[in-house]
Amino acid sequence: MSFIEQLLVGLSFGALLYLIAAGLTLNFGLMGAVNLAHGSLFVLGGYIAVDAATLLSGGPTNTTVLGATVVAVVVVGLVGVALDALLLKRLRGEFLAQVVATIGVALIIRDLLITRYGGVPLTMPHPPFLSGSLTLFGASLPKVRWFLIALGVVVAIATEVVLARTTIGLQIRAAVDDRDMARAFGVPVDRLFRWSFGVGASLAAFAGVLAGFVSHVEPNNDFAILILALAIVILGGMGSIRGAAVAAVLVGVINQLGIRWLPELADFVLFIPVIAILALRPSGLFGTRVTVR
Amino acid sequence: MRGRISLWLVGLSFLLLLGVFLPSFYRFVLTRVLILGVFAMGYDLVKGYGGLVSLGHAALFGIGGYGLALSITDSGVAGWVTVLIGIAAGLLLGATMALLTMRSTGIYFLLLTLVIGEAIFTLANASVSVTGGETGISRFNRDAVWTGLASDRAFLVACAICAIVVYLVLRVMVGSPWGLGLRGLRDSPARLEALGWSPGAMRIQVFAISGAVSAMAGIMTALHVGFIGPGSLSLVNSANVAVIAVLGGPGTLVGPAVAAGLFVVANEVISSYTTHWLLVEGAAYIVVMLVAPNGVVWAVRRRLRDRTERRAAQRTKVTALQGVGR
Repeated sequence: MSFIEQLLVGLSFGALLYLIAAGLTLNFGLMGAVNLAHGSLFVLGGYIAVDAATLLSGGPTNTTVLGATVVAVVVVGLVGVALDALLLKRLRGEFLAQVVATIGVALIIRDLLITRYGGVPLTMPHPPFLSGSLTLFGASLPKVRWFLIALGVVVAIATEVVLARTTIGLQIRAAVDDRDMARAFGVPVDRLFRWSFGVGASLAAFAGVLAGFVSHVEPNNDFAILILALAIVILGGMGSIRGAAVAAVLVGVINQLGIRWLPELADFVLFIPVIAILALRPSGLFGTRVTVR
Repeated sequence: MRGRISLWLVGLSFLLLLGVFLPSFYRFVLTRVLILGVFAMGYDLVKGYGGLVSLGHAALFGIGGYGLALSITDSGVAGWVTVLIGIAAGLLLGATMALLTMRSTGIYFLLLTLVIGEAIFTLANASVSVTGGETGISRFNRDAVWTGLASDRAFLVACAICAIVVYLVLRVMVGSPWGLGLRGLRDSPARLEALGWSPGAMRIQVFAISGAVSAMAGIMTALHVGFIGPGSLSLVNSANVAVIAVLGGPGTLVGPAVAAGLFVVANEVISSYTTHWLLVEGAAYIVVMLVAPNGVVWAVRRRLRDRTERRAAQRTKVTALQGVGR
């Protein structure tokens, strides 16, 4: 694999991580909420899609895979909404309680997944339109990787547009800046948060399905992917979606460089720059310090 | 205070006597209780007294075990020195963690400790040639440290002595002027600084000590089961000790130690009925955090006091009304 190809693989991994981190960082910005079950929602999405795909069809056609993806995204989105309504709502402002309780949720989801699927890695069947590889700009990559990169760009632009140009975006920005003042001006902060939480969960589930195409789904991936997403969120500055995008690309590329030069320690190499940056700039690269109320 | 300490000591010695003469399964459980108790006390120093909420303590716990296991298996160091190496590893990692998190507070601090802990976990998992990766290290025996520890009974007694010494040392420390300063770090770092203390130095000191104690617990675990693996460094292990501290009442030393005992017993009992321990553990996390995120013991105590006060108020009201009637 050429160096450029490896960078592009890193970029596609970064795009995947961005899908997961976007919801996480938005939730923090809006409500100071930290959800450590986010990685489990990612894994849950992958498994539901695998299940739905087998239920829907005999073979992986474009429609069944699309259908399975929709099912996973909707179901996990609803799980996210329920998670906020039943649990996080009661723990506003108590960050230790949020962190530990959502780890509890992650453990429960892991237990249920192991019981249901036996803890073995499952692969998601590739839909025809994503199988095979594609050569663009002299770099040959699996179509799934190209798709991920494109998707990451699309989601990033869409989020930017929604935040900059729509009323909801305006309300979200207002609530991130100053929750109480936004409330005083009639912004329905709690409802906004519930739906953004649901959308964040859906994005994580979508990423889980895509990860199933690229490699596999596995119950023990929950914390591994969560830590990467968290690192991106803090690195980008908690609450900053644009920061998360930059940090995601950075982490994805560093990860690939690690795989290239230090294969055995690749997973660890990633942590060195992340921890170094956070030690010096605790609020991240683009973060203005968000106070947790 | 002195009376209370001796009461605890009598209780502990009684348990110990019981443990020494009970069948081996109970000895096993009691040893686990003591070890987790040490870990919980080490954690409480940082969280309960210093007000620093860490979610990376599993790294401090695990590195003790790894330090011992690696130095036993891979070199010709004398037995007891391996224990010192484990403790020193915890001490150093603790100080390093404090240095790296020096500029963070609150949620940023918590998440950064979590990331550092996870970095150590990943390192142990990835460097297969040194740590055995997921398989861990299991090629060592207790008698390599000291032949006297070979029997389970002797090891139980050693763990008990260890727990008592750790408790007494920490008790003296939190009672000292330094311990007062530590509480200042929790309640108001700014005022602490105004009084001429250095909150930064304080953080390093308390994390180093907590690291050493946590590593001690990791060493005891490694010696107890003759194995150390990346599970000891996992996020779940960090979360467990945080929940245990909350359950027992942070800032009491004894409370978290007792909660650690309850946790181990619950773990053993529930695991003997069902394979869904993770489910129970997760549910317990949620319940504890919903009921009393600052300390279950404190919440219960407050509720009891409220009730007695309400009763007393009612009684005075009744007598007052009677007075009016007359």
